[in-house]
Amino acid sequence: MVLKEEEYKALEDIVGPRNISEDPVILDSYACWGGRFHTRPEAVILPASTEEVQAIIKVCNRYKIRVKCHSTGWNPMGGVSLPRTVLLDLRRMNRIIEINEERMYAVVEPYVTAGQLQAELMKRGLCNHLIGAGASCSVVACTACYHGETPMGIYTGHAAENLLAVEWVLPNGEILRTGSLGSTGNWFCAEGPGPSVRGLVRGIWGTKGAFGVITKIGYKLHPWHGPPKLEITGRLPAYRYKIPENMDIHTVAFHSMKDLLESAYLLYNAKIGYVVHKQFGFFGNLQWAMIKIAMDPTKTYWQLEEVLNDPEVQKITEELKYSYQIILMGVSKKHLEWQEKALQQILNKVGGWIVQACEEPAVKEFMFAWLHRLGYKNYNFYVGGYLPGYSPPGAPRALIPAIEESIRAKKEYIEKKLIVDDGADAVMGPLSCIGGGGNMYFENFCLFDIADPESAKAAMEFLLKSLEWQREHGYPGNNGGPQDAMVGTGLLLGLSEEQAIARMREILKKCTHPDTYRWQAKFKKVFDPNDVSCYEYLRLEE
Amino acid sequence: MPLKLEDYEDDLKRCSRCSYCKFIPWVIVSDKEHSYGCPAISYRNFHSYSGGGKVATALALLRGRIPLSDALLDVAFECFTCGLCHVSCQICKVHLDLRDIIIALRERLVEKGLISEPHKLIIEGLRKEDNVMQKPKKDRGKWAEGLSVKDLTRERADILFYAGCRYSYDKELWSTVRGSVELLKNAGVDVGIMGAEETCCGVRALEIGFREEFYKCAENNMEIWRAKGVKTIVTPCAECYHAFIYRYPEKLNKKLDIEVLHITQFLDRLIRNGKIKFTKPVFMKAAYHDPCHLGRLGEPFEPWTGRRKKIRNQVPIWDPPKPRRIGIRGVYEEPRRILRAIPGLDLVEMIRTREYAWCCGGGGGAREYDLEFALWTAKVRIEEAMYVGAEAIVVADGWCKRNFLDAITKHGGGIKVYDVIDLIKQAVGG
Amino acid sequence: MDLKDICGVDNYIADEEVLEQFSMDYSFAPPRRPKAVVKIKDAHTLREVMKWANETKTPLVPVSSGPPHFRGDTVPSTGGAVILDLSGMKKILHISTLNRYCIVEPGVTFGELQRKLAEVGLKIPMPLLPRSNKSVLTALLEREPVTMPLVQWNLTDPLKCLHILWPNGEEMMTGEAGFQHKTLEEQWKHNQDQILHMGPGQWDPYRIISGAQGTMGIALWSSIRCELIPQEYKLYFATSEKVDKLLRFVNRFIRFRYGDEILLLNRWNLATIIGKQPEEIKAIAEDLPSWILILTLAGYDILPRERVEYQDEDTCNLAKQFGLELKQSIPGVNDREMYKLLNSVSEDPYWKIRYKGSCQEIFFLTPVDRVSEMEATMYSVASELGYPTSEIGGYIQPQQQGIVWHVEFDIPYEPGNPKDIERVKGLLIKASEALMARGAYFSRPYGLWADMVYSKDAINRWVLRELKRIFDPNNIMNPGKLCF
Repeated sequence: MVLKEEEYKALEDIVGPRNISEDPVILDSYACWGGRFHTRPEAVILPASTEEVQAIIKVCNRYKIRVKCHSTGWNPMGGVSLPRTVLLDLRRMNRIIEINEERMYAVVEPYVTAGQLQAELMKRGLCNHLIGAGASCSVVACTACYHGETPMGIYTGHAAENLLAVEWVLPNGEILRTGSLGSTGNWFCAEGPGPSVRGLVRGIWGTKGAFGVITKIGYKLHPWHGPPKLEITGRLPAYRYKIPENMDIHTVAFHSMKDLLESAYLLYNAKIGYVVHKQFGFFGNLQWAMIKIAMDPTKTYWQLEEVLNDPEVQKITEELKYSYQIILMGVSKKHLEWQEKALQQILNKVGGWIVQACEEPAVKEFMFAWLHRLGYKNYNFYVGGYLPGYSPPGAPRALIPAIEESIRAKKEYIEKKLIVDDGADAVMGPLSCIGGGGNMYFENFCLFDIADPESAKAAMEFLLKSLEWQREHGYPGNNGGPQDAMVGTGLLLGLSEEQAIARMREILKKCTHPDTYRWQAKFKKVFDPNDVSCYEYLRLEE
Repeated sequence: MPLKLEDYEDDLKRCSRCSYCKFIPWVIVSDKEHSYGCPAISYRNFHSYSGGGKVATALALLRGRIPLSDALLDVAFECFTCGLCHVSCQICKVHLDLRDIIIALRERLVEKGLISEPHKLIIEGLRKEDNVMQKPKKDRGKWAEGLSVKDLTRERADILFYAGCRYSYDKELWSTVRGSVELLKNAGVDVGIMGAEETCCGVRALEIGFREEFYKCAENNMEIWRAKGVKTIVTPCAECYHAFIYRYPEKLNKKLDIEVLHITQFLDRLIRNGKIKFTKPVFMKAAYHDPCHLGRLGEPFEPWTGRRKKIRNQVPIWDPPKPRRIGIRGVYEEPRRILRAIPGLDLVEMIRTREYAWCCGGGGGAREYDLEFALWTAKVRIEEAMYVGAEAIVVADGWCKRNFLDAITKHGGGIKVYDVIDLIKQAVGG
Repeated sequence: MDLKDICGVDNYIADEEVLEQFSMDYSFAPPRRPKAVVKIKDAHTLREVMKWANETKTPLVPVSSGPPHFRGDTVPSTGGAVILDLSGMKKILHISTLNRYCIVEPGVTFGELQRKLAEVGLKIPMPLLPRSNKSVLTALLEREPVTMPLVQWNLTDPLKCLHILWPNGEEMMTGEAGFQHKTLEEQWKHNQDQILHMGPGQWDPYRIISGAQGTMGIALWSSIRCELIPQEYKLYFATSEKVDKLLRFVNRFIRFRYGDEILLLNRWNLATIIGKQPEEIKAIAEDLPSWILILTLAGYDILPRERVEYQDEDTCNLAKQFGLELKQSIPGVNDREMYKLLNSVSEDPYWKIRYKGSCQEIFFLTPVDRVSEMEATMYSVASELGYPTSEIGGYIQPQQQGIVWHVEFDIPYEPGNPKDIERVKGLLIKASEALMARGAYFSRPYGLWADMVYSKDAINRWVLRELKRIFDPNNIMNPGKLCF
């Protein structure tokens, strides 16, 4: 289906001919993830301002065209699933409108990325939440529209906890300014007035760019006690940061996952940690080999087997099996010293230790660079494909069954040689999803060759099975939501549009909380009378 | 053997759409304004224009999803093939040889007859006149008139000075290329040129999708050098340098037995050996611009034969490991060393530098395809030089110099443009 | 079934005196007598009452705290309303020492909860000396500021999950309580907690019901994040005639992320808290500087003394840079006494009404750099209207780790004095208007603030009304409040 000339013209008149296209060449680049082509948008539009976004949505209301938007668009959920949908690429809305050092907030547009903002903030003694997916991701998308776990969750909180006031063009074309923005023009407060409509902006998930367009956010910032700019050591591609004197990083290990998880409760009480993340676990039992390779500009994982054969590498890999990284940041030297002692006490209590192999300065610097800037996050896809499995958020102890099941389930696929043999335990995640701790999030990485249809199929099966298992065992879906309910997932499985929507409904009914989606259907009815929103905003109509 | 587009298909699928190709390496980013790395998407904004976008386009073309169109021409050719996307992608992923994929895409379009008018003219000129400047072959050696330099069509010399098409025909740049030869001669170097018999290195043809034309140029040149017993080539042109150090050996899958040096490498040697002495200060604050073909694309070719296989069930590798190209073995130090040695000169670094330098906008056939885009790209770079306080931007390539000069003419900008050679000449009192 | 049958005769009150008490409060809300007061002791009864109210279209006004009330939200705005007295729902359903949280019903008060938590070494962040009969759940749901800003990653912290009874009778548990096993018992059996506050789904139900003055539903219970009771602490005072000097220091100090309680009081409010009788209050106030900052450094279970020591050193060094001296006592109160006060409920009479018998509050949110401007505005209006500024209480509470600042002015007056009432009413209106014009954000728009606030943002108002229609189609929950 293509847009009628009159429809296209109406949209073109808003942004100018250079900023809209319905050429298949352009459209297909917005439909391609992992070598698969999903639904093609009818047009891709590049708005530059809230006013343009509003005008576009009003036109779409007039002609009943669906609207979807994304910023950097890393995930297929950023794309379009159903026909007669235009896609707004928010790349031109890339301004940092304000960094208010005194008030500790920033105001940003959708295409400002986490890494860009971090670089600007550090100069001012501030830092931000960086989404787990890393520096290249949009601040607005992660904070307002998507999930939000991060290695620095214990310090900066979940992405959603950093959302202050929001400027949101609703599906009906009205502009809602939440919190303090609506009545005072100020960005500092998320809540109110009265009942907080911030509650509509996102929950455990955001609306995935499917329910109107968020055009600006007020964004909470955090104190940064490091230098304005970190000194870079190492060289491409293995950049490292010199660790400032008031900071340190350790890799701590434990005898079991149970002990590791117990340490989380103690960390929450101790209130230490700038970053606490089981980062390199996603490599599974290739961990130490891959760290060594990543640190060496002359090597790639083409040399993996050679590196793995080293007995020393094997020994350290075994030591790292139940380990995570922790970055400490001190206001003063004594503050840092106290944190080091506190960490040691925690380790003593649960029988953990600091991994000496990771105390080597180059290793520390490399891990520090990785975890502070999160600029190596595309390593998640180093073999081409990655899907998370058995990844509900939850209290530390509560995650044990899911972790154990994930390892058991993965072994099947490994034995059939369908996914990467990483020993089956490729668990990664932050020790706290939310500020101050209390809840965390681990996922077992399923790495697969996306170019191999059998491998890709196996990985998808693993993911879908994991979501079923989670539902059956009283867990939420990955990152807290039913990923498999997405209409896009249904289409990927070869279903028709109608079948995919029916499938969405069936899965939502099976959730522990189907009512949530019935309420969402009611919201949609009111705020989207002309049905321009997309199904990534899930709903269960009566 | 260079791969065809379909040979890349599996790798194309492995693009994870992370958008790293649009930015410089994240760990390096120190401010927002200078975090962008890809001129194409920075200018046109649609994802298609990025490295990852072109991967999707290549896949779409292979699957017959998209027609040949002007939009496809734009996506494929509004790109300098500068290789920044490749460098940023290679930080984490080694499957994607992004630059070569883009060239393979262009080759496929050429095969299918989708060729822009400007590129048609380039190739016609190359075929008829052995240069990409659409100028008469007979005029190629005019830049050297009065230089009293050896003519290697008739004589022998230790060094073949290879001027390249841009320097040969762009009169405004002749002072630089002539200056190069003068410096060499004055340093006692036994140097000669081919003059009007010099023929294009062919790399521009390769980069705009005409591999066969490139092969002809390469074969022709290598034959002449063999016949003339050339042992060392020195060139002031970064693109020619890249052609000789990488593309020619790639064609043969073995190293040339000719030493290839960029002029800055050779002059650096001479300066360090005391053969060139600086006697006059050059007072200026200058920022050095790394030409893409000299820097991240200036890595020598390493012969390799291997095959794909999988380890650990599903980890695709090359066996034996393929030499990794990420730009770290390019030419970065020699030009800087020269500039730091010039008395009075204050060398400042731009934010985007070395392997992740912002392109000048002169290469890949994109300047010919869309001059406005090329000059915009140069303007961005000039602004960056001014941002770091430079009064001058110093290049080591004729295409870079030409594009910067034209950008200043069009967009303004109170900054001077020099080649390294120009400054050496000033410093030696030339 | 009628209401008496549902609640039981003993729990249905139509006594005139009782109805009179609920018909008004210390605010200037026009008095309106309810039809009845029903005492609710359990969730089942509450559900039945809600069902009945929908069938009969009877307005309900939920009240969880005991009197005195100050904000008008517990006074019916329409006739025929029934007060739901939830103060009898007093169960503390769960305390977790492992993951530091508790779950309480609406009738649990701060005193009750803190005593229970103290048995296991925990406490919850407190508002400033709440009334002894103040409901914990309601206070947090209404976003009352707490004195420990560093544990607030969200303005709603430490409130986490809720069990909501929506006005239309549907229910849901929010946050992770809503997307794990179906019952709390099953969740606990599987080591699942109720701390992650987001969702379920792509919206946050708990935020919709927060700050709602009982118009959007009732919380049957809420989970609350607890903190460790410090094993060591040090409480400091810093004083200044100019609040700016203290604010600049606090704005830097808060970035250390040290400390538990951090708040500022002006002389009048501190004197009112310390003193018991009017003359005593006046005398104490005279000896105090204009503004007093109170901060506590704390050490918990790991190396508590060393923790306090390094924080002490860093804090004192910072204070010096701002020309401030940190003291452990000031006229009228020392650190031990103050610490006890901060971790207690108010003795009766409630501290705000000690001086003259009643008090009108003006409170709002603002960023830190506008606080002193708001102070100046308030005093300017008060002076204009002849109200003695020296007797206006001031309270500044950084919240959400210093992003949001609660600013409060407490204006004592004689409830039986018509002139005083008129003056304070006028001050309330004029000051609110002046403050709002300067950008003060009245995020909790009680009483007359509602019209002022909602008239500024038509879209927000429309969205709220639509949500109200969705959740409360029969408009039974506290109609007439906010913009409803």
